[in-house]
Amino acid sequence: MFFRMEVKMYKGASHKIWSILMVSPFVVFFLLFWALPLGLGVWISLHNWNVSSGNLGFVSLENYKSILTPGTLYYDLFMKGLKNTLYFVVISVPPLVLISLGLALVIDNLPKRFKPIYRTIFFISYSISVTAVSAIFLWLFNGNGGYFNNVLESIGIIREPINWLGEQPYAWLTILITTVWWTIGFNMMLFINALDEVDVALYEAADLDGAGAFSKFISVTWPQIRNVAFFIIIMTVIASFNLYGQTKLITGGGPEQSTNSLIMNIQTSVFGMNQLGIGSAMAIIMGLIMMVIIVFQYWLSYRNKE
Amino acid sequence: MAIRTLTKPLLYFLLIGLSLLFLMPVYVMLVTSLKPLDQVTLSEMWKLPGTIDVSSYVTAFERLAPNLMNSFYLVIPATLLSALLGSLNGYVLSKWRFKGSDTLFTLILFGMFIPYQSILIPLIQFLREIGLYNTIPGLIFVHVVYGIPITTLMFRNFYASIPDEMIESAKIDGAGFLRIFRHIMIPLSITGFVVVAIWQFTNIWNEFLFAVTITTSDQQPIMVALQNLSGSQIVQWNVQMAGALLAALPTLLVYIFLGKFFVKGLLAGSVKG
Repeated sequence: MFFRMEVKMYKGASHKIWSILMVSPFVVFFLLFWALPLGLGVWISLHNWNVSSGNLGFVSLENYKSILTPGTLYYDLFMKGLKNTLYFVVISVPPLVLISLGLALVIDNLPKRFKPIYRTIFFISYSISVTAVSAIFLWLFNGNGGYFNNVLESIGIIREPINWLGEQPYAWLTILITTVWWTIGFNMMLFINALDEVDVALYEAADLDGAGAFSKFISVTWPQIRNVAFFIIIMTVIASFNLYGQTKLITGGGPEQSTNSLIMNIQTSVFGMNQLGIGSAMAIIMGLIMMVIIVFQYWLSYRNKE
Repeated sequence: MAIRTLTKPLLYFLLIGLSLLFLMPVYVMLVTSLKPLDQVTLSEMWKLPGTIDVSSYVTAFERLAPNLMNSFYLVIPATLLSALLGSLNGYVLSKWRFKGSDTLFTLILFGMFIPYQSILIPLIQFLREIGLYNTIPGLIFVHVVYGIPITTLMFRNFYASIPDEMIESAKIDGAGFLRIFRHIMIPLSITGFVVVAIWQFTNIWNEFLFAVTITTSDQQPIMVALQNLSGSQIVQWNVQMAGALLAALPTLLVYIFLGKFFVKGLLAGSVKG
C-alpha cells in the first residue's frame, strides 16, 4: 500500500512535494534544537532572569550594558575570563598545531612497520577523558614533592621546588603541557592522513631537482596539506576557546583567578550568582566573538587560495 | 645524502625519547593503580609495585559502578539516536535536494561552529521546564542535539560518494524515500555508521561540561563522578588512578582496536567534503 503510494508520488510535480515532505521532520528538528534554543538564549539575555526567583521582567539591553560597562562586577567577571581565555588561545594554538605537524612529518617518514606503533602511542592520550588526565597531571605537577619537581631537582635544573599550580607563569605552563599531552594526538592523526595523500611522484620530481628537505616541504608538501592545516587550526582555536575542564580540575581557576576561563565565569554567573540573564548575555557575546574569529580565519584561508 | 644519513638516526632517537616521555603519565597511572596505599608516595611514584595489588580497582569499581552504568545508559541511546538522525539528514541533503537545501546545509555548518555554551543555558532552562533536568534522558537529549550537526555532515559526505544513477534507477524501479534508504543507503554506509558511532561514543563518554552542569550525584556519568573519588582527607591516589583507568578503558579499547580504521573513515567523511 505504502509502496504504491510512493510510486504515485513520483509522477510529475508531486515529486517536489514528496521531497519537501520528507525533509520537513529535519527542518522541524533543526528549528527546534538549534534555532529555538539560540532564540531563547537571546530572549533570556534581554530579561532580568534569576535562577531561583524566575523571570523578573524585560530589561532590553541592560544585561549587555552592564557586562560591557567598565567597573561593574559583571564586566570584571567577563573581561577577566575573556582575557584569560584569549591568552590561552594565543599560547596554545601554535604548539598544538606545530608540534603535531612536526610529529606527523617524522612519523610519516618512518618505515611502514613502525608507523602504526608510534601513531597509536601519540594518539592514546586523546582517548582519555579530561577528568582522568587532570587527575594524573595534578599529581605529576604537585608542588610539594611532585614528579616533575623531583626530576628537575635531580638533574639540577632547579634547586627549590616550583609551585606549579599556585604561581604564574607556571600554572599556565601546567595547563599548556597538560593540553598538549592530551589533545596533540588528534591533530597529528589528521596531519598524518593528509601527508599520506601527497603524491609520491611529486617528491621524486623534487629529488631530481635536488631540493632540500625544507624546500621540499614548502613547495611540495605544504600546498597539498594546506586545506587540512587550515581545518586543524580552526578546530584548535575553537577547542582552546572552550577551555574549561583542565582549568576547572587542575588549577581550579587559580592562582588568584588567573586561570579562570570564560566558560568558568559564565558558569559562575549562572550557578553561583543565579543570574541567568547575565550568563546568557555573556554566552552570546562569547559566541559572537568566536564567530568573528572563525569567519576571519575562513576569509584568510579563502584569500590565500585565490 | 650525507646529511640524510646523519639526521635520520638522530630523528629516530628523538622520537623514541619523546614517545617514552609521552607514555610516562600512562605508566605512572598504571603502576600507581596496582600499588597498595602505603606504597604510594610521590617520591617513589615511578617505581614498579613490590607486589601487585588490585584492591584499588575493587574499591574504585565498587564506588563507581552506578556511575559507570549511568554512562552506558547515556552513551548507547545518545550514540544510536544521533547517528540515525544524522544519517537521515545526510541522506536528504545529499540525495533529495530541494530548493534551499544548500542553504540548510550551510546553516548546519554554521550550527556546528556556534559555541555550544550559548545554547547550553536555554537548554538547561528548557530541561527544567519539561522535568528532564538532572536526569540521564535529559543528558541524552542534549548530546543528541549537540551531535546532530557533525553526524549530519559526516553522513552527507559519505552519501555524496554513492552515485546518483543508483538512486535514479531505484526510483524508476518504483522504490521510494524509505525503501532506498533502507535497502541502498544503509547497507552502503555501514562504514559510515561505525565511524560516526565511534566518534559519538568516545565524545559523549568523555564529555565533561554538559555532564557536570546538567546532572548531580546519583545521576552523574562516570567522568564527573571520578573527580569525587579521591576521598576527603587523605587522597587515595591508587584508587583515583584505578578509577581513571577504569573510566578510560572503554574508549581506550575502541581506539586501540579501531583507531586506524576510524581515522581513515573520519577523514574520508569530513575534511575532504
